Amino acid sequence: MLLQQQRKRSRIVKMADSGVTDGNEKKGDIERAKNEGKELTKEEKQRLRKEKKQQKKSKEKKDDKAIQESGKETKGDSSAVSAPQPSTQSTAQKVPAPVSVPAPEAPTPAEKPPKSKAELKAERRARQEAERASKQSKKGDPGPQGAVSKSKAATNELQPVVKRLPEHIQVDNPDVLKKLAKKLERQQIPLRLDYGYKVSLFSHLHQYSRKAPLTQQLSIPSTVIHPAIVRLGLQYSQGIVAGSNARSIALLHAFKQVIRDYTTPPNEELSRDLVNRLKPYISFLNQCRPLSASMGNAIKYVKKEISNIPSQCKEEEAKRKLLFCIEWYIKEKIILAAKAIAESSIEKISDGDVILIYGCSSLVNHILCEALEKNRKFRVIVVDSRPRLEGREALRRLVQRGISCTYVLISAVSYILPEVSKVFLGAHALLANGYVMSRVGTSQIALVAKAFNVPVLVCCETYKFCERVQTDSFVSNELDDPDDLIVTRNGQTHLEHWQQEPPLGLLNLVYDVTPPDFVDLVITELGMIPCTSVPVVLRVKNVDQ
Amino acid sequence: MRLPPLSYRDSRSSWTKNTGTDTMELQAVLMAAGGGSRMTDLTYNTPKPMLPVGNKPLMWYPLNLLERVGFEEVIVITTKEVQKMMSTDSKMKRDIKMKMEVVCVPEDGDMGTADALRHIQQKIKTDILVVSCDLITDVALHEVVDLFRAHNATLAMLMSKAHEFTETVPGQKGKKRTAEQRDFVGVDESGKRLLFMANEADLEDGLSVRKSIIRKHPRMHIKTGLVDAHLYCLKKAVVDFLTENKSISSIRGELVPYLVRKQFSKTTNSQKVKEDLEDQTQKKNDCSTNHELLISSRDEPLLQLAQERSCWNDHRGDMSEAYHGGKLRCYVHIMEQGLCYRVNTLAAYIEANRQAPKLFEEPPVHPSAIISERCQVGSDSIIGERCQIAEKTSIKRSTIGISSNVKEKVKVTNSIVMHSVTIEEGCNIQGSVICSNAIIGRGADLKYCLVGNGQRIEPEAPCASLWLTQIRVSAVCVRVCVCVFVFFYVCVRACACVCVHYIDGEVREHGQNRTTRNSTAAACSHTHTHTHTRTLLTREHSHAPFVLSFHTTVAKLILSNRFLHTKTCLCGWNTALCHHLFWISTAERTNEVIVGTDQLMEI
Repeated sequence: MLLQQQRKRSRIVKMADSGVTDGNEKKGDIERAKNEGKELTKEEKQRLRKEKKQQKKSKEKKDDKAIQESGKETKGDSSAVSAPQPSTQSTAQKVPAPVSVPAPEAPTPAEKPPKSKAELKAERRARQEAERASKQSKKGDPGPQGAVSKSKAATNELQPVVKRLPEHIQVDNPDVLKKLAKKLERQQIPLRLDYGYKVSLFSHLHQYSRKAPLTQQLSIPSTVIHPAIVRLGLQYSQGIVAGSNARSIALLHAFKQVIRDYTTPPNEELSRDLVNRLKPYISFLNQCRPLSASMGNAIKYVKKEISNIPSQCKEEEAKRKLLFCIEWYIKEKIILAAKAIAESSIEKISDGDVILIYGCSSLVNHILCEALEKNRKFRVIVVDSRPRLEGREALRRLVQRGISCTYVLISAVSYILPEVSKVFLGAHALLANGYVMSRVGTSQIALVAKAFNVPVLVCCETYKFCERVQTDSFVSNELDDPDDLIVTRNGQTHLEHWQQEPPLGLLNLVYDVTPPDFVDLVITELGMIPCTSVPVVLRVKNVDQ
Repeated sequence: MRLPPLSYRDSRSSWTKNTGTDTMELQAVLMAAGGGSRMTDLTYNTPKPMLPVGNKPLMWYPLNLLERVGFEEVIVITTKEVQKMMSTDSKMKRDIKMKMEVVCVPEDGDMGTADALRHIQQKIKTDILVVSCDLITDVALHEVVDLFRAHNATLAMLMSKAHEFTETVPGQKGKKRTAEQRDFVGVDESGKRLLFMANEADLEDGLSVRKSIIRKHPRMHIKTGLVDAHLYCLKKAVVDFLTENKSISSIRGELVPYLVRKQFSKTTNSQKVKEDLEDQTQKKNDCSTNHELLISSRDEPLLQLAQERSCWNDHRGDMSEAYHGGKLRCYVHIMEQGLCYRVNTLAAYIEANRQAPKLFEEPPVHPSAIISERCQVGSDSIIGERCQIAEKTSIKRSTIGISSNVKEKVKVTNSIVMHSVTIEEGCNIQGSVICSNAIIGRGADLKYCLVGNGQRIEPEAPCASLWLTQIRVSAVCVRVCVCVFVFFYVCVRACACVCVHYIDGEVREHGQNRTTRNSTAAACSHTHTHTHTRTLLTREHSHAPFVLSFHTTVAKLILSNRFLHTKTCLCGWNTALCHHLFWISTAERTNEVIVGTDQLMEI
């Protein structure tokens, strides 16, 4: 298992290596991004050519050496494989050669790893594609923007631009931690200490204790961080504001307060200074609880709006503009989107339906309430799981509206599914490869629903779409406070001293990913789409912006 | 429980300063105008905020608490007298680097804490943190403030488990204490939300809880044995409310119970009323409803939206949303461990002196103190500046104040010696409190005594469990040694002193009283009414008229001090004292009072 995990992570590293060399996020202007498309393809082309040459050489060498060292065993560990490779490989090819199999083409340690035929094939294809893309961009009229951005998107799809590995999934790397600590010190944000023993596969993630909030290291009338941000961070870490919609709205609300209280210091430019002001706030919030994808998009939007403010703009005017933009974002992307989704998903709810929902998704609740108002006759089964038991809140909201509900725990899902006609799920984020990231347990529900041939509908606003690619729940996830798993029943607390048992680890995973195979439909404000269309939506969004 | 060292606390590049706005998160207000009515003997000459605890003035502790967590400014509400003393006190100047804004309030007036807040209303720009000057604690203050922040609360306060004071208190027999008025504090299952608050004194025949609370919080834990630390985070709206509503004069007595009660009143919760109120803000006709509007922390619509989307709820078991839709929320943080003292009684004062050294890291013996080599000073003792300690003395578990002079062969155990006290040769002082400028004569043997400010104990005076204080009666200064529960033979030779000794309930009179009986009685009663503690009362049968007049004076004084309306209080007081039931009946609410014991019924 450990090997597997390492492999997966090393893949990401490779993706990062092969990505754009300029990993600086700050300069993410649109203009630049547009130009990047061309540059990339050229660079790519050159690189591929070089690689081809090298490969020829190595092949020749290999042949020589294979004769000499045919008896030797390859070490075949993943560290040897970690030399740069084209990123277009499929997973199957990535599996390191098992130690027992004698490698016919044993590589010298200094050399590059061997390439199988399949690999070479894939490479060639990639090269061809790249060439085609570059031709297209050259041929195509420079006038229409669509063609350029399309080609860029195409290359992006081929070569996912994972610029760098985010810090929050490299907690086991002391260098990264040191860097993080330094960054926080510069921003005057205290570092939150990890809590407790982590289950082995998840040692690369943060794990915090709710009992040790970040505020204990802050001054009480908080001077470095805006009070609204401190309050928000507390509400995040204590779970008072939970759910990606709620978190995004609360974040934008806090940003509004920050902007309202902001005055540009002399000799500074608002567009630059305000972005710099927000940075420590964001890392503070990230320390309180890792940011959600929706929050990431909201932050991106706000930053972009700030940097779009012309320098000659008066401060009051700029602030007014920003506040308006934030208002607009909330209204358009969250409230109206929810309305649109409700409208289209009501079409999918017919009389007599039995709808299964999981956990507490604000969007799904909204849809069901709207459907009730449209006089649809349906019944809801609320599935819930420990430790948060958020389904109870969903149950309360639905029953309060007068919807007839059944409440079961996730362990009873296969029992209840035969009577279910549709499964409605909320989402934390929709990933670029069509995977659905949602509260842990969702993929299990989807799997069982698939087995019972029950349609699974995922409801998700497009602002939760995310360019990340993920095929498992290990690499990027969130660990909640393990103490949440402790239960006191009849005055007895069984896991109370779990920390004193070295072989025992508590894992309180927050999210999981559901493969697109289990999801029949995604309902967004743009309409109903299959999971696999996420990149299309992302591309369109990029064009819009 | 000490806070971790903070590297970010003293960073000066704050968002407030850069931006130049004066929106701050919290403003600190220190209430230091209280008279210390429960320990008048100590505060007779030194005002309570300046009482030395561990050789630091009492108000240093809350100020230090505030400074430690990062406050840079504080508003100090105090009296002229304290302000004068503060400006001369070197310790305050040196140790407190915060910017202190001192606001004086008239000394004599009946100004409550809420009145004081109203007084400084102009200076309050944002939410406030109110601290009393007599709080000594090592609480992690962020716990209280976080409750205030996270739940957007109107009120967040600090409480602590009551400490058993183990030390023997001077002038008190054994562990017997006056039965204090217990507080009943109701919290929800999480132990944070403050639902209910009542004092024993206000309960007539039982604890009654309103239905609206029970309906919303069917499981309420009612706790007793808690001490209110008098530390409150309050929304700015509450201060605005106070300016509107002049009838509230004290925070603890009136405002906090009001806020706690208002959490469940209909008007703050129902949406309809709120909308109506929007119109009324301009009119300000309907005062009562207007106040409620001011109090309820109005969430902005966006926050409301976020709350609606959030899948969090503060309770379960019923159909209502988080916080039951209430806008007014009170929270309490209950300290389970750690230090938390309110220095408002003599017992607490003594206990605080024992514990205070744990709160700060300073050498127990001040470098400027002159201590001869051949004396024993325990590590648990504090010796103040410029002290002189002569040879062959032994000081254990004690505090010796600034510029005190301890002569040869003195033994001081478990005692508090304040500033500029002279202890002559061969004294033995045990478990006593000796106030400033007192002089203890040679060879005096003091056990569990309280020696008042500037008192002079004659040489060779063995005293036990005495209360030696100075009491002023009208213009004439009469020194009265009030003796309480004396087990041993008592002999205090002081002029103009009335000593009454009680041994096993029998009364013998020593020496002739040179003042009139009435003035004696008045003197005695003066002490009683002010200390609310047990003092002597006589069961002197042979001096019936004296007794009568004595008690009439007492009763009159009590009446004038508005104590009689709680009949139980007075009875309890009497029972605790003399093991005799005195009963008092007011004849048709006149001030004529008939007082008697069961033996004196015929009078």
